[in-house]
Amino acid sequence: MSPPGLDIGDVLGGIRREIERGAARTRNGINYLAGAEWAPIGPTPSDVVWHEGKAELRHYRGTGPPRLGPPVIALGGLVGRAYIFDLVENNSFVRFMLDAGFDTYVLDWGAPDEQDAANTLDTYLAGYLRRAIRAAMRESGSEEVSIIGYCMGGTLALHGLAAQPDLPVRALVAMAAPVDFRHLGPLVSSLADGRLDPESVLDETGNVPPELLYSFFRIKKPTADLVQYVNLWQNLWNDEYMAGYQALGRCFRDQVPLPGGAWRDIAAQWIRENAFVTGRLRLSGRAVSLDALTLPVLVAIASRDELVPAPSALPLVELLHGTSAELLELQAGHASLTTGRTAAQHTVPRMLGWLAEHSDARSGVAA
Amino acid sequence: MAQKAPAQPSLRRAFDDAERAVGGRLEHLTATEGFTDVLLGAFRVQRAIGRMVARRTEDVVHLAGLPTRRDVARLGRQMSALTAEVRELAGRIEEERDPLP
Repeated sequence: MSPPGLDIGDVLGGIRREIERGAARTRNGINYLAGAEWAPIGPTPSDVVWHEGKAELRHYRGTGPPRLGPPVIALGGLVGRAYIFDLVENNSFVRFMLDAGFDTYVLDWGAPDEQDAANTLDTYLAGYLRRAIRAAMRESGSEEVSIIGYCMGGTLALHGLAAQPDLPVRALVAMAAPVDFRHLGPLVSSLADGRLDPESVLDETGNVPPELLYSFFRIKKPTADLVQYVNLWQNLWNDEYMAGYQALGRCFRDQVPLPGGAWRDIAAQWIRENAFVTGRLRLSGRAVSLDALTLPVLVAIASRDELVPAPSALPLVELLHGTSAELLELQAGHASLTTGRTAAQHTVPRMLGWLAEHSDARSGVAA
Repeated sequence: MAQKAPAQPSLRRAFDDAERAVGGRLEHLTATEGFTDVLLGAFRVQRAIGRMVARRTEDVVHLAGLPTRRDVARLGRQMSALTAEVRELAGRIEEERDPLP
């Protein structure tokens, strides 16, 4: 007979679980050190429906026809990788979007090289963004689109749409999109107060090297690597965790250069002039006002975001005078806005729920 | 009802406590102007050395009458500027032919 409060079945179950985890940990540890890939990146089928320069627009295929319209274009920043939206099986933002019924596109700005060093914000916003929207409309037969901008992608979308109010965009989700650049850490502060000359960080290709950007992300949380290794050890037995860990780690390290021309614009306008807050935005040589934005905007911020802290994204709600911006504060970190269990269970359903409210059911397609 | 998070092993709790204590101080340090200046200084020195080596190598390559990486890059940038102009014109023509709704 077992002592009171101690169930022999629970004890045996616990021992068996630990033995199984130990075996899985050993197997996964060896695989990890050998450089094995747990799951392929970008598992959702897609077609490139438009490309220009290094940029391309991918149209994702769901299991059935989209139930909601207009189509939605997701876009990230210029230094990140677009596969953040489609990491691995069971951890894919575009898969969530497809399952929710959206006709889903991702605008990938591409990996610039020295031939793109002259690309300015004009190139990306008045050029690529504008033409990608047209391409999505043409591909889907729709007369408008909605946009989800993540991180710097949200800031780009705000700038681009405010500068081109003729673009037929139904609704915008600005996810962790910085607009007040006084709260973005040491690199940005050193630019803002003139201690850092933007030209001095351009490499021989004329672009900002990804290593510099990566090191500035890392110093914001110097113990992050150590914590990640401890998390890895703790979850080494878990294949699903390993797949997400590997994909997200790769995505975070796999930054691309920032084109010199765009960097100069960002340094001058977004950072030094803090132009979103001071109302001094420009594009194509013309003044741009956020008041031109009349579409519904969801401002989604993550309370534990260390890359884009809430004070840098929050002011957007007050800066939009031409429309009613809704604020969605989520208990999440920067990455868990779009990836992982928190995203699947909490953050993504709430953002997509808002977007669904600003979409139409497609006639003839069962909900 | 919300599920209670599983308890962390005691070793992990100890690590988290230590990480919070040390990490907070480190973050404070790396957020200072001085640290940023040191990091940028190191980056500039690294680049200056790289440029110096590249220039010497280019001199040797030019002596042999061969184009350097920089020469090819310059040509590439010129072609890229032309391509961008053509794209821009093509975009304008498309907009005029098929205006946005």
